[in-house]
Amino acid sequence: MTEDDLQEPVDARLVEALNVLRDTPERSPDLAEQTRTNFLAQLESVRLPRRRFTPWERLKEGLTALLRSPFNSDKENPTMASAKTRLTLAIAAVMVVVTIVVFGGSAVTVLAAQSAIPGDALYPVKRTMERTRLSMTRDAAARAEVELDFAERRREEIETLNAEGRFQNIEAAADAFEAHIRNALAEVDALAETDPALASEIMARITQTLAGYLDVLSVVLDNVPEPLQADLQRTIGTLGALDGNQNANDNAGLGTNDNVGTNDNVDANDNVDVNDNVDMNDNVGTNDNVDMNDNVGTNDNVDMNDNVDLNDNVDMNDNVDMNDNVDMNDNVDTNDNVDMNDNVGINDNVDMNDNVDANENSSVNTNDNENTAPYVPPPPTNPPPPTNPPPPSDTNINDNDNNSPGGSDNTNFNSNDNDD
Amino acid sequence: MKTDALAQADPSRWTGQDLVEVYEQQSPGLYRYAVRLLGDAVLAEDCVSATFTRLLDVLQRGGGPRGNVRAYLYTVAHNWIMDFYRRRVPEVTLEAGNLRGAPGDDPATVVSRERERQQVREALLSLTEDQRQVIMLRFYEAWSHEETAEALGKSVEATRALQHRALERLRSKLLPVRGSGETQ
Repeated sequence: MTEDDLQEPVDARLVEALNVLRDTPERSPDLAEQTRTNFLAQLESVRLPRRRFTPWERLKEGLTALLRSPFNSDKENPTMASAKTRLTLAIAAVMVVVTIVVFGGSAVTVLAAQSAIPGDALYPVKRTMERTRLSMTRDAAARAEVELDFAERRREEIETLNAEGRFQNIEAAADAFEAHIRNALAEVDALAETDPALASEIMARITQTLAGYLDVLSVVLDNVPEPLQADLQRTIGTLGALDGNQNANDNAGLGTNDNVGTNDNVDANDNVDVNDNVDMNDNVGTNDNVDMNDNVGTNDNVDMNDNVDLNDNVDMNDNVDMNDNVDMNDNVDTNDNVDMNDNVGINDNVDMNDNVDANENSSVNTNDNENTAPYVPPPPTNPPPPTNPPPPSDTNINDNDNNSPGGSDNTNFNSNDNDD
Repeated sequence: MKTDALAQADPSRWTGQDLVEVYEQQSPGLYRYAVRLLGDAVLAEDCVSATFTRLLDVLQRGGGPRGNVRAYLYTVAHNWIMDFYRRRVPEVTLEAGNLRGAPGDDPATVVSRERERQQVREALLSLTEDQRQVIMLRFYEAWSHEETAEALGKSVEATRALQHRALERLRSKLLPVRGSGETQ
């Protein structure tokens, strides 16, 4: 011990005098063991909380599961589902009654509950009212929206809890947030079969909600104790990756249908592999892919196959590698290749259709393809687009004109192949 | 390091295993701390034992150290020692168990060393509680001003001032005696 250690001048003789107490007698092993045994015996009789995961560990776990199998879960038997709904309704009704009895049912209580956050006395009232609202909503899209509303509330609650330093309640809110997101995804999953476009829209909102959540976590990160920060950081990384994937999906969901004609390129199938990596993509743009199939209809023209242009397609495949980049947009550049359109004819390969998954990715590809080939008339049911000249007797088939609205020409051909 | 991590965590999350780790890491230092002020091995063990009993008691009732568990333990130990001295007027005890020395040492040397230790101990006990705790933690345990300030619930400036006054007081208590003996 020196002056530096004490950060003030000290008489060296004083240090020397005090140092006689510095060395301590060796602790008697017997006595020490006795003390330790005593402590362990007391510990045994004390009730301590069991080890719990931190909110971030749980969140990470939940998100990982969510990323793995968002839509793979088995569908419930519809009759089971309606029975379950009835049961839920009954339970909710009981809860409302209980709430009214316990809290006097005054509008004041209900209003006060609206601003409650986890840990508040009125918070259970708020959650019960939410469950009631959900139980009265039948439509899948509406249910998804409601779940997302609730998820937003949970996010706001986390913000408030964080601002008030009530970190111990954040875990519950984070759990609830996850549950809402999972429920919303399940609803979107069901919706995707009946209304793909709407499902895609809601999916975009889910992405947005998760992005907002990511922001909140970033703020919370600054306030949580250090040991939690590493976990939180990893969660944010997971969410960030999720966010990136979602963006890719959005692209697929949106502009794709017009592109349809192009995607028939076998190369797209290669992309499929890429997509498998990004599990989230399956959720989004699938419906758009159906439009892609319209082009497949074009492919019926076997005549195109004569084109040696197929080799050009091989080049396209190189572009496919671009798809590894989550940014689907890069692929769009590729599609501009006029050669692609020619290939479209070639694409008649039935294999294309099978790769429905591929289309999801490929949706990005697209629109701009200039058709070098003469226009081929659509099947009689559809009038040809005015901009296109009447088809020559030529065997070439490429219909996919950029100018023409995406699938209308192709409509007849839709989905036949895809449905497998 | 694990204990440092625990020190930052919410005590209500501690498990039995966490507490055993806290015990294993903190008990030797606490023992040395206690034996310096108490000068008695058995009393020092009692102090360590009572300190951890206190910790378990507080945790069970849903409380727990806010912040640094180590600072908390040393504060509890200090309070126990002060209580001990309040209950019982300190007397110089030269029991054989408290005398240290190699087997070959001259008994007279052993005794005079223990007497020196007792002088320092009494000088420390003459300080105010806060002053004593600053010297114990800063000088003997080599804690930083910041850590010491946290343990005392005071500002860093306050612990600096406490340390200064404590050293002045110890100097007046200890040096005249030793100084006259060494100025030959």
